[in-house]
Amino acid sequence: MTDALTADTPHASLGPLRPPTELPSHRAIWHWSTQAAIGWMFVIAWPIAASYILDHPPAWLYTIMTAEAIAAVLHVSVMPWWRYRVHRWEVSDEAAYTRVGWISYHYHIVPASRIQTVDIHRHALQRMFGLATVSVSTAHGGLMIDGLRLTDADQVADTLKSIIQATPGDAT
Amino acid sequence: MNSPDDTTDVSEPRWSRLALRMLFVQPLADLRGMAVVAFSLLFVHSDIFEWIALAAGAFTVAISITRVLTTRYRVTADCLEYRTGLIGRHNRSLPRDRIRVFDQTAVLRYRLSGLTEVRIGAGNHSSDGIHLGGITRREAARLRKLLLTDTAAAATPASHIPLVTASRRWMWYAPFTLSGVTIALTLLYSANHLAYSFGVDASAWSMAESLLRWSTHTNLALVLAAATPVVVLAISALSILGYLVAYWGFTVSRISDGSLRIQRGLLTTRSTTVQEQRIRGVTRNVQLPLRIVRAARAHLIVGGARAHSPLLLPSAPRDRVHDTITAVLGTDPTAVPLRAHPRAALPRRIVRAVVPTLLVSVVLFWLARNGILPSWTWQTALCCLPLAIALGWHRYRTLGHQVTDDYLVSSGGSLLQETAAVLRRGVTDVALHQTLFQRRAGLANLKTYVAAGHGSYAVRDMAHSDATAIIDQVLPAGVLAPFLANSAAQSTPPLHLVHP
Repeated sequence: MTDALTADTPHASLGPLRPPTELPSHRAIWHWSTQAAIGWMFVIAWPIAASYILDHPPAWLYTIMTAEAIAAVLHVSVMPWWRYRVHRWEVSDEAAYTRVGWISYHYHIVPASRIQTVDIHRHALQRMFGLATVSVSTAHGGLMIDGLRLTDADQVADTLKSIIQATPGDAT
Repeated sequence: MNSPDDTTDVSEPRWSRLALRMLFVQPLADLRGMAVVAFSLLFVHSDIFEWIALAAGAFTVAISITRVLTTRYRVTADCLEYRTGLIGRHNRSLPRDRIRVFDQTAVLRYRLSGLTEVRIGAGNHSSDGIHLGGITRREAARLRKLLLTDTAAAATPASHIPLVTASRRWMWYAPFTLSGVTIALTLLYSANHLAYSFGVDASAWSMAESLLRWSTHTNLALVLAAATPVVVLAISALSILGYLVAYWGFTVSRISDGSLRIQRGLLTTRSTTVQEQRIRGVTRNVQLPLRIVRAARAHLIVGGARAHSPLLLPSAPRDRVHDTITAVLGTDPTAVPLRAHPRAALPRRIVRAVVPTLLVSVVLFWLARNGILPSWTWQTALCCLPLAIALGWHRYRTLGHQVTDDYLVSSGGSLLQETAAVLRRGVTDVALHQTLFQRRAGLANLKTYVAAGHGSYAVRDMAHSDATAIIDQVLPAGVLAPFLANSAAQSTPPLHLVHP
């Protein structure tokens, strides 16, 4: 039988989370900026194409182009370094723990006993930088450890696999 | 012919077929889709088209008959197996221990022919249930008993204990929900679609345009005063009608084999059976108008089927919702007093309500200045600002959370207030999200992932330290401690990558 705590019972104060201990690879910075640059190229292509196609391109087209270019330069140069200061990960016997984001922080904790699968995946851009992502999935959630060197990713995945083999149950 | 042979030994199962009646029901249903084409062909006096229509009809009938004849299924010791198709064959098997939900519906054509259709859901992410369209009700009952109980328990007949039966009077709550508006919009859309196919330009844009043009030289106040009662009455009538059609004979009953059955429907009857051990919690939602008449709705959070939150109770008085949840779960976690969230959450709620209103006002003002819209539009939008502030304030007031022995309870929302109680041991993992402003205010959004219902449930704008306290209570013991800033417990990472 569940009996309610009264509304004014304080939670045992545990204080805030600390960031996870491990850093991603330094190469991740270049990967993130390349990825952002490619994304911005698609955005800026439209006003540039329009300015060539139209006979009399309106003045605000150039305003948009300039604004986008400034935003792109700022994003591509600042975001990756900032992100590198935020992204952290940690794998212990009991859990996998990550912090990702740059302006916003996302913390994610997956207990070892809830892990269902561990995968490594690399898309084309990651391969260029020799990077890989380890993705840890639970029944409906899960987390990703991004920006690891391939050899490190293999090591992380192997460790996680051996941990989950030693821990029963997945809460489904 | 289907063979509901109760003496069939489970270890030596035979393949069963759909009911023979389906040979008539299915082709008729499939031909109905062609009725529009056939109807339009009546106006084309051409032999070729008639022959094409006839051939297409014959083809459709042939396809439906083959589909009915080739569909077979059987229940083996550990699987439900299903195959269909003559040329493109589909075989599918569903492990019996994965079966979580047994959903039985009967649309009108099935009811008239004494048949029913059954969807059997499993625990995978994709929509991978097996659908048996057109078996007899007796066969459906046999399958349900066979699939949802242990083979040993199936020998004894299961008894039903009715828990809740909806009162006829609850239909008067229907006008206080959005259902009437939804039905009206659907009807309007269908009418619009029909008008369009007859060549009348009735697109939303042209309607709005003519309405706007018309409104500029009419006494708008008078028209509104006359039209409002009519519209309100019509929508209320529609919502009551919709309620009766959807929830006629709503009952929740407990079956002695440990499952719960929810039955409802006037024309299309629906019966959902869930295993009680798969229930991961309950949500209670209150649309703002329902709040005024002290009513609420409740949904179950059921594990296995993705996005499966079967309705536990349609709009009903609050205390009946309380009784129902208590009858199903043994306790009503949504009724516990909740802890309010820090004052710092209030400005965030208000900003989020006010900023969109301001943006809309600015856009409308710009449109009015360029003569596209009359200026009363932006003035009205600006007058909504106090409403937006009130909305933000109310959204803050409804924020709350609590942890009970078994459940994590959280609440939020204003126009649609939802209180979700999630079984603590059903939580698989947790995420904590902090925007820049939340970090400054010491707030965080907590998201708990469950392999049931919506998949995740959020607690918004709670104190960061309260969030860690909750994480500690929902995750297995000892998982969180090493990750706390001021904790003595040190995690010993088995993995520490060192790069020389």
